[in-house]
Amino acid sequence: MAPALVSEPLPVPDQVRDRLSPEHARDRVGLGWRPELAAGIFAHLDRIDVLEVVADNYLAASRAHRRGLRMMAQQVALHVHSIDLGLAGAEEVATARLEPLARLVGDIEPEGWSDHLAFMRAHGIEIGHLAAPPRTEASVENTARNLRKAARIVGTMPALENIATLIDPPGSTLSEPDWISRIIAAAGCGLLLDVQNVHANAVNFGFDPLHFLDRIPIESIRYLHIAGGRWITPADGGKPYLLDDHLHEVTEPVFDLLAEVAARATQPLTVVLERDGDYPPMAALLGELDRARAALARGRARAQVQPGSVIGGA
Amino acid sequence: MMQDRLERFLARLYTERTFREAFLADPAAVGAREGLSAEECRAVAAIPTDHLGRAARSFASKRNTKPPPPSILSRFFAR
Amino acid sequence: MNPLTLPGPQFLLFYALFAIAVLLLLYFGRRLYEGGPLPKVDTKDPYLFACLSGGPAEVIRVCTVGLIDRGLLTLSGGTAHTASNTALAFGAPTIERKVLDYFRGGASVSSAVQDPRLLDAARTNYEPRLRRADLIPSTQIENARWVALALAIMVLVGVGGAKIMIALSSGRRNIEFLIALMVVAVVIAARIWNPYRTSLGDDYLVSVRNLFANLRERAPSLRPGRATDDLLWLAALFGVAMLPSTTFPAIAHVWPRASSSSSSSSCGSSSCGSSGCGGGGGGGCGGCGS
Repeated sequence: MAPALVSEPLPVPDQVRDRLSPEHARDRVGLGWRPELAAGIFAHLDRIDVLEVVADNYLAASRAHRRGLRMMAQQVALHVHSIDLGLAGAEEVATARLEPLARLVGDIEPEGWSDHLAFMRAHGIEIGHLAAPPRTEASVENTARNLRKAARIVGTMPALENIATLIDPPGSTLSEPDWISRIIAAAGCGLLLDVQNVHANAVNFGFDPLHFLDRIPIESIRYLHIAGGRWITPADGGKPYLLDDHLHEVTEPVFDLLAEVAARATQPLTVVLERDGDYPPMAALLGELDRARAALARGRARAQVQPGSVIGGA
Repeated sequence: MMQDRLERFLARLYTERTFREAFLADPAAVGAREGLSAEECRAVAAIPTDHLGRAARSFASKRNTKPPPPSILSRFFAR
Repeated sequence: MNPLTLPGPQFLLFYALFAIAVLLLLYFGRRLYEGGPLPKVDTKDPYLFACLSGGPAEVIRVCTVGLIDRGLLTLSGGTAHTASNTALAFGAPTIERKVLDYFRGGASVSSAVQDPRLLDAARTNYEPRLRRADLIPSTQIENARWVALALAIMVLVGVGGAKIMIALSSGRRNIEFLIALMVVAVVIAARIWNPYRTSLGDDYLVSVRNLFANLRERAPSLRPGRATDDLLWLAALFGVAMLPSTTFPAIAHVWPRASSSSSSSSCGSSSCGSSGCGGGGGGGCGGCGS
């Protein structure tokens, strides 16, 4: 029997459960929680549907600090986003890395958690950040194995995020969308589609992002990330490339892709704006959230509505 | 396992400059010494040198700015 | 063995330990009774948090600082004037209008926190909301505190008084140390029994301060006149004394000791030094950085 494509969510606060029930299902737009933005976020919480917390920043946080995050989880839907697990690596994900995350998730009670389709280390060598593993059947099996272990220890299956990469992983036998599709089918996890990463990889490696969307299981998308980047022109005059640095405004192609996903998906979508530094005034960030909402609405309006179907239907 | 070997090889390429330079100078020899098949060697050697350099710099920058892992004491008090 | 029959010095030691036990029971009993899950509170208004942090006077201090920073109040020495052609944005908190009205003809800044009408305005705008969330004592909690204090004093005075009676009936008059101990114990009980916040309020404030730990660290780099949320929240959560004296020398001069001294523990250390997926200034989760 094929594994279910939709993983069981963690228990969610009542005010979020209402939003996710079929009668009230709707798209949501939110922001990555950054301590530098605390004041602005607190002051404008009514314009933010969801906050995403980077787990790695809080694994050793004090109880009081975690209570603060739990308090936030009562005010607004909270999602925990992990970076360091290396779930798509050949190495089995260490229990010692999963247990602190499990405690954090247990303390905060977010509505879900996620990590990346990446490897971070091999044989004791720490790469330092997200690296694309060769996309092979073996890595599909490795990832599914790691996901099952993670789900067992943390308590629920994560959503997995596609990454931007500066290197097309050598030794790959599968395309990225096919690889993602097989992992989702094998593990029964959800997909966190980073639209900026799709865009960056598409311009850097020369593929059509719409063809990418054609080949991934759209119905498995639970969350989306949007972010900005910048073009880098190499000093040696080589081909410029798009660097996904999360330090700039989201561009129109990313919003267009977001609209495209909204046009294809029937389930509610949650979009999180990632901004990691060089922060503009809060009004500018809120403006980007509004643009995301407009893109989602544009996409939904374009979708072909079949008789009897509603947005949010399973 | 091949996947395991290849990821280890890539991890070294991304993080060790001398290893990377040795590989770029003689991919077949370095690849063979590390247990890669000829096909894997060719695939890795096909990575554009400038892409490899960018990736290595990017990862180095991340490693340098990453906070140290929490101490045993702080992990204990976080329980 | 009856401790009341202990000889003088030994009874003093017993009474000291007994008093400490009673005071600890009073303190932790209150914390247990007043604790609970953190409530959901409207987070939009920093003055609500200023009230939680330091009471109505703190609301007025923070409000005054914020209005000076936005140029709606001008400061000259220790006197503030409402700037001409001042207009508050639609939906601005009521307390801001009240403070601007207070300074319309010019007044000393330090007098604002003692003005009964301003204090009453701050109290009526914010304390009911804090009380509904059990962050400051409701009538029920206040009654419970009175009962606990009465019991503690009864026990402290009862045990000490019984020993005094025994001593006096035996012809002994050296009861000064015991009386001093009793007075100290009762004074401490009176000091700890009725803080402004409930223990839930203490926990809530500590939790919020932890979320804003980064802002506290950035305090020295904050600049006036930017009209951002940062300055107001810094003052509201940590006290106007946290404002950098280099950029707010006048405020530091007017309220040299203004701080949330009525608050309990300071925020815990922040272990979230990095922001985002890749640390401040680095790349995001996409695996790319400069």
